[in-house]
Amino acid sequence: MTEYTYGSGNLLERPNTYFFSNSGGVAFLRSYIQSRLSVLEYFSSHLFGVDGGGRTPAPQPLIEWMNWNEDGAPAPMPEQAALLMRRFAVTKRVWTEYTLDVRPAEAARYDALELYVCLAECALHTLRQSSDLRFLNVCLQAVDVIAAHRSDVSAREADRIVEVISLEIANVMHLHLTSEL
Amino acid sequence: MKVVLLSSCSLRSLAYSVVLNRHTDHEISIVEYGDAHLPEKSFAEPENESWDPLPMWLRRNWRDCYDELCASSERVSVDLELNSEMVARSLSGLQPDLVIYAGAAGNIVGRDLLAIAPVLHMHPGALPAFRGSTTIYWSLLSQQPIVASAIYLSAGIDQGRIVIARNYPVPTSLSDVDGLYDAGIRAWLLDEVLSLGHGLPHSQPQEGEGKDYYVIHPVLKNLVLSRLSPPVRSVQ
Repeated sequence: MTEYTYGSGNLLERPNTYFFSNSGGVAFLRSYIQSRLSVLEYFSSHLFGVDGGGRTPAPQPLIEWMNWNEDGAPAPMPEQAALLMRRFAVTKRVWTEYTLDVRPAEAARYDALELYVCLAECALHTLRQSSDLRFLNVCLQAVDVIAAHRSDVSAREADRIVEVISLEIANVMHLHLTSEL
Repeated sequence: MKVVLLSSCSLRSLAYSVVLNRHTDHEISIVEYGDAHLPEKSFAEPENESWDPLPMWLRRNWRDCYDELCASSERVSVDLELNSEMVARSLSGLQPDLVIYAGAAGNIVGRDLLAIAPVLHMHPGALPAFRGSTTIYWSLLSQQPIVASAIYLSAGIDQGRIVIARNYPVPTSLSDVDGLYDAGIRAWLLDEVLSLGHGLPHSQPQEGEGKDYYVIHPVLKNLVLSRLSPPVRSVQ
């Protein structure tokens, strides 16, 4: 029950549901840190990945989320961004294109891993501004997908991923050291 | 009242059966849906810390209680999903005054079922502050009290009218949070609702801005679990 298994497997096709997840307490948290450190090591080596073609453009709801973050997030989260977050919470997928009501567009794909990096960055940015832990939740889930599919990630994303994972770990450690129940 | 337990045969269904066996003044029926397999779970002795902090009357073999309820109630089993036409037909055929919802995680009651009778749901979170999933953990992570709210389900998730809401003691490091604690505090609340008196319990709309929570990531969940205090035992 203490092994961190959520960052492995084919998560694009068989996403984690996280229902009734492992309960290992501190031992589980240690296992999570070890798992993330091994991903960091992988991306720091720069001996991986595919160069790929052009970067996949971010879908509109994600662009709205980014713009909202850049404005300092003073207004409520844009509706499309909030729906994207909900859609991701249910499917654990980020699609290359969405309809106006934020459903996957016809022929849209969910295997563009740079969009998961983008989502994790957005979530961390909002977390920093709001301290709302729901955004750390999004980041953890997006990074699980990136970790599981690390060998398919384009080499040019390495620095961004290293930063995302470092920030994610820092936030988790901060919570661990400061939260009181 | 004619009360129907809409049961996925989950642990929650079993916990509710303990309560329904105590309220024999109601005419109880059961509609089971899905594959209707009772959970493979053994129930520890009442003194075991995994029950903390549930009251002694809830510390029983819930499977036996469910069997007891089935033996004394009309029971319909439908081997289909929650929102199937057959479940709706079975439910309406019983002409309930009140439906008590004990569904599986992730199931959402559709409009057709909601139209049959008021559907009572015990949500383990304060409303509207903690709507959605795994709200026991989200409440603890936010350093807020554990609250369970009895609501009538509506089309919006966890947005229905509130019957009552109660605070519950925080689980200990030895509590079975996902299992006994979650199902147990809901059952504890159901007991209070059914003790309110005859007739359909009154309700009021939710007030204030709501927040939606989704299934908590295991890292955040284990941050909570790692901070729970051990049970306090009196020294003899």
